[in-house]
Amino acid sequence: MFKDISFGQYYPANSFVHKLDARTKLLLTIVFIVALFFIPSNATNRVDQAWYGYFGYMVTFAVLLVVIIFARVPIGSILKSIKGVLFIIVLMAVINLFVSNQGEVLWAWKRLHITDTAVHTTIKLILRLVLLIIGASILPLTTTPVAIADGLESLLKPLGWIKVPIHDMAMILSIALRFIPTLFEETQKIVATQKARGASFDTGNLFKRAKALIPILIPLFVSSFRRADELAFAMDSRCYNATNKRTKYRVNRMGWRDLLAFLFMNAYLVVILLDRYYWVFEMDRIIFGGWLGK
Amino acid sequence: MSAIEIKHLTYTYSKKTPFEHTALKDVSFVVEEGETFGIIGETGSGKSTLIQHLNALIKMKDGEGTILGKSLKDKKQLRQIRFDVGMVFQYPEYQLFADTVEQDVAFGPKNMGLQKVEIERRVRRAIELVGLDFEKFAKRSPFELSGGEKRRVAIAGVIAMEPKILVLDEPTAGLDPQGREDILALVKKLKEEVCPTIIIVTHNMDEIAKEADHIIALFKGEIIYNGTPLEVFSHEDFKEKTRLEYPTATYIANEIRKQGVDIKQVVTPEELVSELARIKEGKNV
Ligand SMILES: Nc1ncnc2c1ncn2[C@@H]1O[C@H](COP(=O)(O)OP(=O)(O)OP(=O)(O)O)[C@@H](O)[C@H]1O
Ligand SMILES: [Mg+2]
Repeated sequence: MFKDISFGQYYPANSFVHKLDARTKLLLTIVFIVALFFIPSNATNRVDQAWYGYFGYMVTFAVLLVVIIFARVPIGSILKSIKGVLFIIVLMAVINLFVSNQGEVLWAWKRLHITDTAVHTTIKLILRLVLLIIGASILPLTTTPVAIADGLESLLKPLGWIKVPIHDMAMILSIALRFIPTLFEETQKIVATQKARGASFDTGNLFKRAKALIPILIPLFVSSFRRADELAFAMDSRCYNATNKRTKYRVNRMGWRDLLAFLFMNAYLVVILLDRYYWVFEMDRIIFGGWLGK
Repeated sequence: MSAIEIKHLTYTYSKKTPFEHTALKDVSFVVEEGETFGIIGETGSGKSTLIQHLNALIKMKDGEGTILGKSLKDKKQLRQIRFDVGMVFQYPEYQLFADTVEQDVAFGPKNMGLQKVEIERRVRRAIELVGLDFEKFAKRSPFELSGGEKRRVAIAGVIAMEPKILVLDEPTAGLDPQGREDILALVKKLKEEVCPTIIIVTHNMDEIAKEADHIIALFKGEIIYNGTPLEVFSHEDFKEKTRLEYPTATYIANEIRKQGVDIKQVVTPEELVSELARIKEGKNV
């Protein structure tokens, strides 16, 4: 049922990115994050290098645009994930703006000062964080939590050889994920019941409010334990045991889409690496040459 | 003044998201004071959504509604409406939380800000009304009780608020036949002694045919039928339009009628029996 997946960020659609294997998306998210951190974010001491890195961010932006178009998720749902951390980004940006001593001072007041290097560093920091969050939000937007858990289990399988109980951990994770919407629904029901009995949760001081949660938390715990009991019983009666040789109901296979996605994202990584180590920001010099130096 | 008046109520869950779902469409009805009012409909037809509007647990967006003359849209009245409309939810036993039965039942009256003496009086009365021995149960933990007893305690928790309208969402779900009968008897008693206006949501047509003065039948969020049980269950397309069953007595009468016997429309076993007796006598004479 639709209610079972309506938590977290998952946005149901039938797009290219939705159809990718969860493992592909997990790996490519890592590739993306690695690539992003190869783009310089702090300007070097040399003033003529202040613009270095902007080309990389432009490429990243273009890549994300392509991914978003192929994922068919609305921009609004992506912006929502930025909104959640907006405060942190602003805070980091403000601190960054004032700490740098290098470069030419553009503005000063008492002991505070802003240099041109600091401005560049801050812009790059913001770009990096925003692009990071956008990129990382593609995975949960296009993949159900259960598929992510399955994918993780599959990717972490090698750890099983050194006796890490991967399967148990994956089982715990998928049960937890499975029960989040159930508990959420349960919570709503209990809140409604206690509200009908005149409980209010948004009045009084902090202590009063915390106390008002007791009539919610206790029934919630009671029913969680009951559910856990029932589930354990149901698993036992189906002879569940966590051996390594269990087969999966849903078998994931990689296909041509996954191949294309790998090629695309790795091409992006290569461009970023080339930009940094082989061209040594030649592109930045070509594009922003007019502003470089003095 | 009617107890409840709802006009053109439409409600959509998760509006403007891909999970958007219209649970109620242009629902209008009136409940008179002193009535036992039944709401029937298949699972997912919007019954619970509808009753949660009746004490403003869900804020009314599209439509109008008054409860005992107070508008559901008037924010200042909401608290009073919550106390006027007692709400017993599906599986109410899961709302229990306090250390003792007494404390749990006192939760509602306490929230109303009543005096200690008044709270004690109401708690004792409510526990006794639901058929539990106050001396025996007051100090026990609600979690140690049987399922049926828990449900009684939960109902007592609502009764103790002495609401003017009592709404019960499937009060007999998950009980054995004896438990069901006990709860129905309890509802009757509450109607006589506490609040005359009662709204019952149920899947059980036999129960509603017997208890209700008036019923509405929902299907996919719309009211399909609105009338007395006899009127509603007389519709020939009732089954197709609501995906519900007829009450057993109505079903039997319908089958007998198909055999060519001239039998009147009935909804309760008692009516069926007297109808059969009439036919038998008519034939014998
Ligand atoms: N919190 C919610 N979010 C989204 N959709 C919901 C929510 N609660 C209910 N619904 C949907 O609204 C519709 C009506 O639900 P409702 O609970 O009112 O049905 P019901 O008639 O009480 O069913 P039942 O007999 O099973 O209790 C259903 O399709 C349900 O899936
Ligand atoms: Mg319901």
